[in-house]
Amino acid sequence: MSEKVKRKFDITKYTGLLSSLIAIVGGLLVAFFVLMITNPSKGPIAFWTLITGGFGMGGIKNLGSLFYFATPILCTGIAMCVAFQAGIFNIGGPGQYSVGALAAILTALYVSKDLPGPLAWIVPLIVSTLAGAAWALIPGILKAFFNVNVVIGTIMFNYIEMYYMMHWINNYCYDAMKGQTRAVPGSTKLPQWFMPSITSNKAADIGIIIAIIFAVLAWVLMEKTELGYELKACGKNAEASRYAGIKSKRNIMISILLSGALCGLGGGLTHLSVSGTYITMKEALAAEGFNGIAVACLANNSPLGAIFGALFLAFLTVGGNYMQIFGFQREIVSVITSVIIYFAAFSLLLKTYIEKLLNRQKKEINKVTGEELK
Amino acid sequence: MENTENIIEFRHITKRFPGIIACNDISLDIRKGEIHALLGENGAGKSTLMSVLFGMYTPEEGTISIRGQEVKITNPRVATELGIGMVHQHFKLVQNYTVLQNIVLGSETVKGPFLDMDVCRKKVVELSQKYGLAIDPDALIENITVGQQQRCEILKMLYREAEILIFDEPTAVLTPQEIDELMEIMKGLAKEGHTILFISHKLEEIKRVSDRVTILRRGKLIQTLNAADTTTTQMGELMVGRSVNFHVEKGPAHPGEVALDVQHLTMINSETKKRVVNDVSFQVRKGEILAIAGIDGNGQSELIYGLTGLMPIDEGTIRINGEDYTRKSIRDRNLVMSHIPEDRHKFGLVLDYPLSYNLALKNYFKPGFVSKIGFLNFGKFDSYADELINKFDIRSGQGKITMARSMSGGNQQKAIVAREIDQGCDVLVAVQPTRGLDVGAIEFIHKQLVEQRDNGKAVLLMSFELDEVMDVADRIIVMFEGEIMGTLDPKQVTVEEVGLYMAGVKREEKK
Ligand SMILES: Nc1ncnc2c1ncn2[C@@H]1O[C@H](COP(=O)(O)OP(=O)(O)OP(=O)(O)O)[C@@H](O)[C@H]1O
Ligand SMILES: [Mg+2]
Repeated sequence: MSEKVKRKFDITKYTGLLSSLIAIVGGLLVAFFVLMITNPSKGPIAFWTLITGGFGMGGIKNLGSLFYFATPILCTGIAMCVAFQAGIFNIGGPGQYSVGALAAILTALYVSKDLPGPLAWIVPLIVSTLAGAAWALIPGILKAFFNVNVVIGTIMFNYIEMYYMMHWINNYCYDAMKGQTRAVPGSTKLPQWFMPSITSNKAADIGIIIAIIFAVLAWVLMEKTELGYELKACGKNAEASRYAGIKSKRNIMISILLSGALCGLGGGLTHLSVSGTYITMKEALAAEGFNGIAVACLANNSPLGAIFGALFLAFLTVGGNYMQIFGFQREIVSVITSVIIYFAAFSLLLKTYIEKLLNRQKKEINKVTGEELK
Repeated sequence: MENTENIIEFRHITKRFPGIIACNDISLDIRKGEIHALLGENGAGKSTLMSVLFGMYTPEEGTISIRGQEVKITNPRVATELGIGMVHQHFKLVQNYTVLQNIVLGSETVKGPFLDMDVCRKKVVELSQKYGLAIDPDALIENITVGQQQRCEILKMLYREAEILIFDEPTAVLTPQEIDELMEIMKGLAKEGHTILFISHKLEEIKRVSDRVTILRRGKLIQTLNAADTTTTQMGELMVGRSVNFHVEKGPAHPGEVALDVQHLTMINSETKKRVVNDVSFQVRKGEILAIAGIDGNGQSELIYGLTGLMPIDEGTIRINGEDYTRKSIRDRNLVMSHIPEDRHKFGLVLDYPLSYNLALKNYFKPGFVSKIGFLNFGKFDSYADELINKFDIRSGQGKITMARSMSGGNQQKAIVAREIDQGCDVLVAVQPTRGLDVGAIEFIHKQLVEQRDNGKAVLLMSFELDEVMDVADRIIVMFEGEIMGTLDPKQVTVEEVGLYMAGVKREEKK
């Protein structure tokens, strides 16, 4: 009996995907609405540019930018997937990401630039990963051993990072002429391999490949290993996990450190990129950190889904960069992203609603194939 | 009985879930003012049928008429408007609200923009007096007993002027005394013109309180009988499809060496400073079943949590097979002592994991289930799950890939029991192992417990059901207010005598 069910395509299994799609469509509709009320005459063309990711105007070259924007939010996105699945609401992404970025820049400038071959960029990447993890360490300890709410702990560390960072930049890597961090030496930038040729973009590098590899690794970890089984069990039912003898403190630490490390890696990859990214001296939290939450929501907390979530949001970002041509602010993309986050947050609600709708439709189908289930 | 009007008419109700037909073409009439019991094996579709009536599921086929009118009950709100109320097996109360707040929540009386709590309170007090539902309206839910929480749920329905009352296994969580009280309450409600639909696995209860009983088997309606004209034996046979032996068959015990040795165990509640477990000492030998009897709330639950490491203990020692386990981790204890927990949703299952993952909850880290470098062996997960599903007859829509959440209550319980018994540990701690199981499954689980004993395991059974304790145990210890009142031999004492110990009236002389 169950065999038969397995073979049949059961759409109710894909409600997670459907709710993500609805979140996306909802976000885009709001974007269209905003564009139309700001400037009705340019609205449609701007919207078209947005949803074609600017590929209509920039052509294949945009692929390079797409990957560039996708890399950091993919890393923070997987970071959030891992944490959320383990039941840890890490919203310290911005802090962990920026600390990783700064660690990569400083290591590149002072330590690794003369190291032989690939070590010049691998070492700063490793340091950025460790730095991201380190930034998650204290909120993790607070949660595991003193039961301090993770949200509060991690937010606090976002702000500590924001102010402390300025001090570090000012003293060690400030380029006063440009008002931003100094450029990292060429030897420490990520290699490019075949990326420029497949994207016809001279500045494309392997950042996205590394990020995708980590997404796959994170998926394997969560779905195929003993540790993943434990982390998810803790996230779904902490008491039952304790009953099963799973060490919850240890798992809280592991998941938040992993999450921080992935955020840090994102900062590293972005700031060692060939096209060059710099930290400016402004009092703001890194948006890449928060966008990871949107990516995770779109992906239903699956690291593999995060690849698509990140590419999609990056796609909109690339399109958003053309908005100025039509007299719009590029911040319109932030509006859409936020709307998508809201919609995605409602995805649970959407899920149950879709399930109901589908059930109603199934009734019709069942009338025809009524006997089959017996 | 004849010529009474029907208040509910189910016609050809069919409700399917992936892989299973939970209700298969069910037609049933419920008469106004009757107490109608639903009986059936675990997974027979009782809860599903009631959920359909309460608007939580929409059936694929069939119609429902209420008071002669065909209605579409699309959600619980519609059901409430039709005068239908439901007490779920797992209560839906807000823990840190008072009884009164919980009752009026969602249908408050307002005076202008403000809540008019006085009017609400008056109505609640009136209702509770009228139906003998004694309860303190200002007590917090988290501080009252399960029985009182249930009264709160009943008042919630009555407050919304429900005429048709659905109870899903209301007695599974109650002590025998509370059950007696509930039976009286139900009879009173029926006398006042309410219609009651009532699910239970306890056949005597059904015979005692209900007018008619409908038996379901694997989604199909088998028969509706007058409760007065039937016997528990007949009901048992009709639901399971074979004759059921209500009495546990077992030979004499052959106790061997001590497996579990508890000395001077004391646990103090950190808030009230009360000694909830007070200087408790006992031993369980290999090859015997020791039962802990007592009225709920006398420290038995805490004692078990202390033993299994889920709660810290303040004084005393725990030894297993001679080794000191007082300070060992839960994982270490799990390797020598398995535990069927009292609260299956809180501890026993990860509801959003599939059945196969849940069956491996105590094994996933052992060789065979996981490779040396930490990769799970899903082939082993699957074969192990299939083995337990077959052996323990765990029924669900899609077998091992079914989410635990979507399984029927009794089958969830069977999954836990299967996993824990199969651990093969020297000590088996079974707390209310048959709660929510049908008579056939109970018979099977009791057999398994005896078999474990005969295989030289030490079994510690905790149950609020005196019949179970008397039937299964080789020795009984009775707890009252955190202390052991005496050690009894079930062959030597009567149920009444055990009751006196449980009530704290009688106490064994200290040696
Ligand atoms: N939400 C759901 N999704 C999928 N299957 C379900 C769902 N609810 C119930 N089922 C399946 O429908 C069948 C009937 O379940 P139901 O809960 O009605 O049983 P029951 O008669 O109440 O049993 P029990 O005595 O164990 O409580 C079971 O096999 C169960 O696995
Ligand atoms: Mg049920």
